[in-house]
Amino acid sequence: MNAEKDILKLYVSEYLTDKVKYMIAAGGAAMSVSAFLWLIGTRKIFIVFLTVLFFFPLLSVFIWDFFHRWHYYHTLTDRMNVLNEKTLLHDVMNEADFAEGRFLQRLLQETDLYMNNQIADTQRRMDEYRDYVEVWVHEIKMPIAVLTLLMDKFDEGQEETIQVKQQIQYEIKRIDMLAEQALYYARSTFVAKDLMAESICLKEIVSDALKENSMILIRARAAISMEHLEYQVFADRKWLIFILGQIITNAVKYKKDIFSLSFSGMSEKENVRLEIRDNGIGISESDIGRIFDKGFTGENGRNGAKSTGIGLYLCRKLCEKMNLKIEAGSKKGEGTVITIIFPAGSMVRELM
Amino acid sequence: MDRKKQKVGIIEDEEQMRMEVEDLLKRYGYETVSYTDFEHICETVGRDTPDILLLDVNLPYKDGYEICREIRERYIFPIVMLTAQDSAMDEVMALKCGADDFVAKPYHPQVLTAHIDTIMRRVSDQSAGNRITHKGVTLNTASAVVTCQDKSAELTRNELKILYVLMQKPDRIVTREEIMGSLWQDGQFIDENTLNVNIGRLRKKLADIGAADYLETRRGMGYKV
Repeated sequence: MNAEKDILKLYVSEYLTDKVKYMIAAGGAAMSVSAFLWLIGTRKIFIVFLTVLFFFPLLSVFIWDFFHRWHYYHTLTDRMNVLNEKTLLHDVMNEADFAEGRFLQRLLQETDLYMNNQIADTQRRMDEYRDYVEVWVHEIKMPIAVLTLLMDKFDEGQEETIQVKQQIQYEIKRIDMLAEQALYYARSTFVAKDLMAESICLKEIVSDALKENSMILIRARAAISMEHLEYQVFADRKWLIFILGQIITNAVKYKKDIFSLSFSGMSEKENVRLEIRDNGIGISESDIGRIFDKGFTGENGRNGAKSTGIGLYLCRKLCEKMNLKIEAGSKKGEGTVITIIFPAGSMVRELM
Repeated sequence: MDRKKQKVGIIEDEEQMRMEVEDLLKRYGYETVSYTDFEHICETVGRDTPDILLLDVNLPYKDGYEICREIRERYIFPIVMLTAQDSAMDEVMALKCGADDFVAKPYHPQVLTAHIDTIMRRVSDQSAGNRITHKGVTLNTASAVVTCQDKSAELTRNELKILYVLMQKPDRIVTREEIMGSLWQDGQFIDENTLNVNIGRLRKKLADIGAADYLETRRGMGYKV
């Protein structure tokens, strides 16, 4: 609203500035004529009368013109403020009956058309790229599957090959997880047609997530604890497992020598909370507000591994789509707690 | 578990994939047969009557789900669908057209065989021997009893799993990570200390039944029987 008032205030001062020239010219002309008439001896009263006769219509026209245009621009700014898709202004703007107004309209039509085409073009390219990523992930699952099977076949007859085999299996799993993450990222940009919410037992879903990520957790020598998870919540099973996987991956990445990871549930008021707690290197106060931002990579821990920075971003995005909340708390050097909050609704409380 | 004579039928059009799955199943003790005539798949399968059928979703000629439906209409042997994705949609589709189970790519070998085992157990007679024997020691997976000559000992769930995993790869080293991975897939999220404790207890029980050196340690590598 304030911006609108500023625009209009600006118009008033600009309008007056424009008209000053006319006023000066008119004033000059009037003065010259008056002086001449006075010189030739015309009665002063007639001079005054003529001056008034001259200026009165002129001023009236200016005043009328001002309000006429003011009304047009006021309506125009009103419509623009109410409009969501600003590039459709040319369609909803009020008709002008003066040259500048009409000129503006035609110009706006052209620029809006151009902009809308650009937007549609960009949108289309985004859609095409996203479709490509989906197909790509689908395709890459094939060699990943073949490699997984091949590695299982690889017989460790020689002791030297055992370590190599294990390392390869581990890396294959990491490739698989990155491909999964790419898929979720690609899908996160549009409305989820994939969302299938159901009633899930927390204990079961945590178990599933642990099994899914067993390779990296075992290698990281994690000590797992699970307690108070006998709650039923409402969410999409696959998405929740993916989210837990991202949290687990982070916990592994930023762990200290001794690694413990705990999952605990609790109910408070109308919510059920799932807390995932680790004893890793923690997150600094300056960073903690930003960890869910897209592209945030923070300090890179011991191994300096590069991070995509979208793991936690996706977690928050997916939580939003499922109507859940996700929060983080941390003490630098001591550990981190990620909490997922499941609001009440169609939810059955603790079954115990 | 005695897997002899369990015939697994495979319907998968990607040759590399099919060979790998065949190989995997053979190594785990199954007999395999692959069907490649995708046009007349229902008749071929029907005549052959495998004990269980693995059916890929993406097939030429006909849609995998449709084939599943057709087979299910006429035959009762269990069908496990192999899907490309893990989405809820795939799960619903698979179950709706009569499949008993579904496994998504990439196929973690243990996951695939676990699914097959589960279904087979459901179908076949359980009281019959689910036994493995190696170097004089017999493990009965149904009763969780390990026997050596006349002596026997009862095993806890974890001990059973550990011994089972080791006996699946006789004379070959199994890494600690592999053993722990197996236990984790079973829902037992143990850590290293717990594993050591379990191995120690298992060893003691084996010693009690006269198989003291059965479970060997390979420093830095793992264990083997």
